[in-house]
This record gives sequence, structure tokens and C-alpha cells, in this order.
Amino acid sequence: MSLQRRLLLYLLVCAPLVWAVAAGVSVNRARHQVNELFDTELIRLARQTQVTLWASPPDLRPTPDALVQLQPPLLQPQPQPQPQPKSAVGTGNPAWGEADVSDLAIAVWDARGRVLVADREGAALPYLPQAAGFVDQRLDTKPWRIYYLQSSHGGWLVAAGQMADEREELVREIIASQALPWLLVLPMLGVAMTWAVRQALSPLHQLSAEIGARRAEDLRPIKARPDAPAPAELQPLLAAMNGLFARIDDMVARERRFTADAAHELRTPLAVLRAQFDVLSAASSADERQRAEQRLGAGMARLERLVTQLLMLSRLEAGDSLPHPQAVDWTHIVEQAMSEVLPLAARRHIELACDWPEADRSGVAAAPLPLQGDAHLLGVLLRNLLDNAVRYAPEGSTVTLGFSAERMTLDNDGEPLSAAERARLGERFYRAPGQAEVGSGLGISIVRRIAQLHGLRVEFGDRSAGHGMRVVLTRI
Amino acid sequence: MRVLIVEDDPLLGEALATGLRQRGHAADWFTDGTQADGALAGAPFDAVVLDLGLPGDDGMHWLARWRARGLTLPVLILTARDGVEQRIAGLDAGADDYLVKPVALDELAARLRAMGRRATGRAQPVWRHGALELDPAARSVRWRGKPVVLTARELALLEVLMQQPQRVLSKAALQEKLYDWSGSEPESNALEVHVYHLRRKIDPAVVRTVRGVGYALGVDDSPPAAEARG
Repeated sequence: MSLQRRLLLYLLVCAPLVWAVAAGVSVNRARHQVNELFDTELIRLARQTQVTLWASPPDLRPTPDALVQLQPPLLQPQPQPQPQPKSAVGTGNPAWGEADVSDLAIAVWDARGRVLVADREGAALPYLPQAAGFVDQRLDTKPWRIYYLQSSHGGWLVAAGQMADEREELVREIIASQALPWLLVLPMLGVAMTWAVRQALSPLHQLSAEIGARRAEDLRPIKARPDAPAPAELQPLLAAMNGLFARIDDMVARERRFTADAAHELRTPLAVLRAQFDVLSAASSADERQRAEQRLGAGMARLERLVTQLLMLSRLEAGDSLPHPQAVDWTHIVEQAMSEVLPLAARRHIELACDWPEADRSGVAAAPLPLQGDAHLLGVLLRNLLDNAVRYAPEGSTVTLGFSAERMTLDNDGEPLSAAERARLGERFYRAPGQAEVGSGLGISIVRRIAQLHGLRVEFGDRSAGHGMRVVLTRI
Repeated sequence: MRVLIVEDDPLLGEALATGLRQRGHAADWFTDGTQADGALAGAPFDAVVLDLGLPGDDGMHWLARWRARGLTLPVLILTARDGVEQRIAGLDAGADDYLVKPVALDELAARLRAMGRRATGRAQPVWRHGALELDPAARSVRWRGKPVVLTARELALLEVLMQQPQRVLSKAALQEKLYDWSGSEPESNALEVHVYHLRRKIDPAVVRTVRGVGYALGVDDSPPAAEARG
């Protein structure tokens, strides 16, 4: 679900919930207020009736024999207008306002329970001689609230009652008058919230639009415009993405450089094949043909070697760490690598040797350069180094491998390289000048990369001052 | 045509030299600029095939140096550097042509011929001298309209003579044009043998001997209207 939709949903669910709680509270308050108001009215009505009866001359007082039938308007015969505000029942308004007189009832009994005054239109209130104060009772199946007032001298009992529904109706009306505008406003609220949510999320939309519109090769960092800086919530995301972009850019640049270098380096071996093939096609004598075939073969072997090494290097460049490092068994690796360079060594009459760590006085030999790593890759590393050492050693000399607990050395009697040549030695496709042997110029790059993956350092130097070459492999 | 090849890759340099020799040119191959520079002073080369990625000073450096010295012979750059900027830089530094590896030897030879034509002021691909016609591209010769079969050396000798029809060329000069330093020294009478064969196969008058000096192309005996030499 989209962030926007989720936010909207939360808001649209929460807003009515909050409103419902608020409405509940206000219903409660309204009911309380209404009860208070109506109860006060009932009390006032009862008292007024009592006072009126008490104040009237005894001969005008109602007796059970002369039952007073109240007619609307109630207490109308009073000559003086009442100065104080009156209840709805006695406003003196001939139109009766909106009052429903049948909801209201009043009754007066004498001490013996005889009805002295009765509300003609209202319901007949029950005579409860002991009652005082409010009594909730059902009359004609409808709930009534009745206030009983005992006269202080015990002469009369006045009761003023009102149908409870009246109150509920008023509460409902109050609630309805509140809810209606709210319901009318609800769609507007929805629209406003949608707009607000959309507005608040617009930086996110802008960002996704910007990224969406990017071309694959465009890896520049995403920059917030100065007029609309990215919101704080987006900053970490932006920083992370820009970091990723930078890393991808770096990797792409590396790959591109590698491809360009590789394409460039493939041109010369290809040119050799092309030229040798043309020579072969134009060869006129068997001798010439055989010679050209030989050269063509050599050219193909070289191209094959170059492609193999390119693939190896490209695979090595791809990963940042070794997949399954294991304890390294150097003896096995040395055997393998030496076997592989043996034909070249034999052709060039070069002797191969390996010195293992010597045992100390207690007769325990240190483990040779203990390491966690990939035996296959270390084999490639060693073969490349050995191959170089054998290739560039003078014929008839010895190439010696030496192991100690901390390092591996490889010595030959080759011409030491100058400092400038040594500095360029790890560069891809770099070959020291004046070499009769054909190399790809990738071997050292591969060696360096494998060493790097194993946390090793490769150094090239002189075996002794100005004489021989030495390669040293140590832990970083 | 005698070509100087400067190429540090042993397999490629060897193939280029062999291939150009197969196509009737004399070719000398060196692996660095210093040696090539020395060779330029020592023999009358007609063109240079120059690699750019050389040990020591690179090809661009040598090209600039040669041009600064007033050397006008055609130079063809043959390199793995295929960028447009690099081509422009190479041509602007004074190269007459720029080829990117790999290249077919026939194309290389054709481009060298084209450069040679421009250098000697000829635009026509077929050279004429009276009734004699030589097509360096097809490596064919016609005399009075009829094809003449010549060996590679005989053709090369005729080509050298036809390049400068008015000049008398010494035996030494001819030998330098015809033979590179790769093979054994030509026997002293080898040139005479080739001249003899040319006279026998084409016409006794095709090559004149100037006693005590050397050889020259025979007098143009065709009517002036037929002369089409550029």
C-alpha cells in the first residue's frame, strides 16, 4: 500500500473515531444539562403551584368538592404578569410556542389523598403520599419523571411530572444539530486531508520522478534544489542512494576502463594473427609456409593466454572478498604451480627449487605463511609469479621459492628493474621494455589482485644490491 | 619500394616484414625508435610503418622529431590506439596515413603504394613510360599492350627505375632500394642478372647501361601523343 494511501486511511479512520468520542462526551454533557434544566423547571412548577395555592384566600382554595380543572394556559387567570422568566408552560404566549402540554402534568392532593387540582390534559399522576423529590415512573407505558413536593404543614401534596422522552428528544436534537454540519463537512475534510497528504509527500514524488527520469549512465549524486531542500526524513535515504551511486559509478568506470584496455590490448595479438595469416596465404615455398604456420600458432597461443588472463582478472575484479576461505596448504599449491611451469623451465634450462621453514632446536618447523584463503587463486598467483621469474631469468640459472612463517620470497637472477619500471609493474598490460618473451602484461595485475583479496602485499625488489630480482609476499 | 617498419611486438613485426617482402617490397624491421632513427640515416627508405606504443620514446615522439628535422618521407602509423583524438593527433603530427590494428597486409601494401604515388607526384595508379605499363597494385607489366611475366625482384627493379625515369641510378642506389638488411647480402652480379632478364623479357632497350655510373630507363621511343606519364 502506498504511503499516501496509508496516511489517508489512518486519517480518515481516526478523524471520525475522535469525533465519536467527542460526541459521546458532549451527549453526556447535554443530557446532564437538559436534566438539570428540566428538573429545575419541575421543581419550580411544583413550588409555584404550592405557593399559589397557599397564597390564595382560603375560600378560593380548591377542595375535593370543587376540583380545579386546569386549563391552558396554566394559571392564566392571574391578574399580574409574572416578572421573572417563566417556564415554557407558563409563558403567556397564546400560541403555546412549541411546547407539548400533554407531556407535562401537575396534580395536587390533600392530606387524605383527595385530588384537589388535576391537569386536565396531562396524564393522571399517581398519588404517592410518602414520596418527596423525584420519582421515575411509567405512566401509560411511557417513562415519566415526577417531582413530589409535600407542603410544610402536611396539607397538600403537589406533584409535577414530565415525560422523560421530552428530554431525550432535546438531547437528540442537540446532537443532531452538531452532527449534521460535521457530516456535511466530512467530504471537505477528506478532500483537504488528501490535498495535505499529497502536498506533504510531494518531495517523495519529486524524488521518484527525478530518479525515474534518469538515464542509466547518469550516476551523478541527487542534489536537492536550493529552493526546495529535501525534508529531514529523506536526507538519510538520499545520502545512502548517493553513496550507492558513487560506488556504482566507480565500478562502472573500472569496468569501462578494463574493457577499453582489454579491447586495446586485443588489437595487437589480433593484428599478429591477421598478418601471419596473410603471410601464410601468400607463402610460396613449403619452408616459408611452415615458418608462417609456426608463427600463427604462437600468435594464437598468445591470444588464448591473454583472453584467459583477461577473464581471470575480470572475475577477480568483480568480487570484494573471497567466497570460501580455508586454511591454505602451501606444499600442495607449490607442487601444482611448479609442475605447470616445469616445461618452460626445462626449455630455458632453469632449475626450480623451494626452501621451507627450517626446524628450530626443538625440531619443530614453523608453518609456512599460514593463511586462510582460496587454494585455486593462490595457485594462480604462484604460477604467474613463477612463470614470470622463469621467463625473465637468464638461461641456465636457478629460480628459488622461499617460505617462512611471515612471508614468501621468489628469487631469480634476472636483470633488476629500475625504480620507474618497478612502479609501473602492476599496471595492466604494462610490459617492461626490451623483452624478447611474449607476455600479456596482465600477470602482475592478477597477482596483485589475488594478494589483495588475501590481505597480502606483493613487493618487487632486487635480490641483492643491483643483482637479481626478488618478489616478496607479506601480510599487510 | 623499401619500407622501414618500427614495431615492438616481435610476432607482429616479423609478420609485417615478411608480408611486405612477399608483396615485392624491401622491408626492414626495428623494435624501437632509436634503431629506426639510425636506419633512416643509413638507407634510402620510401616509407615508414610506425607503431605508437614503443619502448622508450613512443612513436609520436619520433614522428615529431623526424618532421622537425625536415624528413619528408611518407609515414604510416599502425597502432592499437583507435581513438578519434589519437588519429587526429597522429595525422597532425605529420603522419600521411593512420591505420588501426589489426590490418590486412594487402591493405597495408595498398596504402603504402598510395603514399608512394603521392610522394613521387603521381596520381595515376598505372605507371606508363612509352609502350611500357606498370601496375604496382596488380603487380603486372605490359609491353606494347601485351602482359609480361616478371619475378618479384625484376618487378621491383623496374618499379625503382620507373619512379625516376630521367635519372641514372647507381648500382649501389638500386641495391639499397631493392634489398633490405634481412637476407644475405646480394651477390655482386645479382643486379646484372635481373637487368639481363628484364631486357630479355621486355625489350633489349628497356634498360640503358651508363658505363661507370649505373642504369637508367630506356629512351621513351613512343610517339609523344601516347605519352601519359604524369
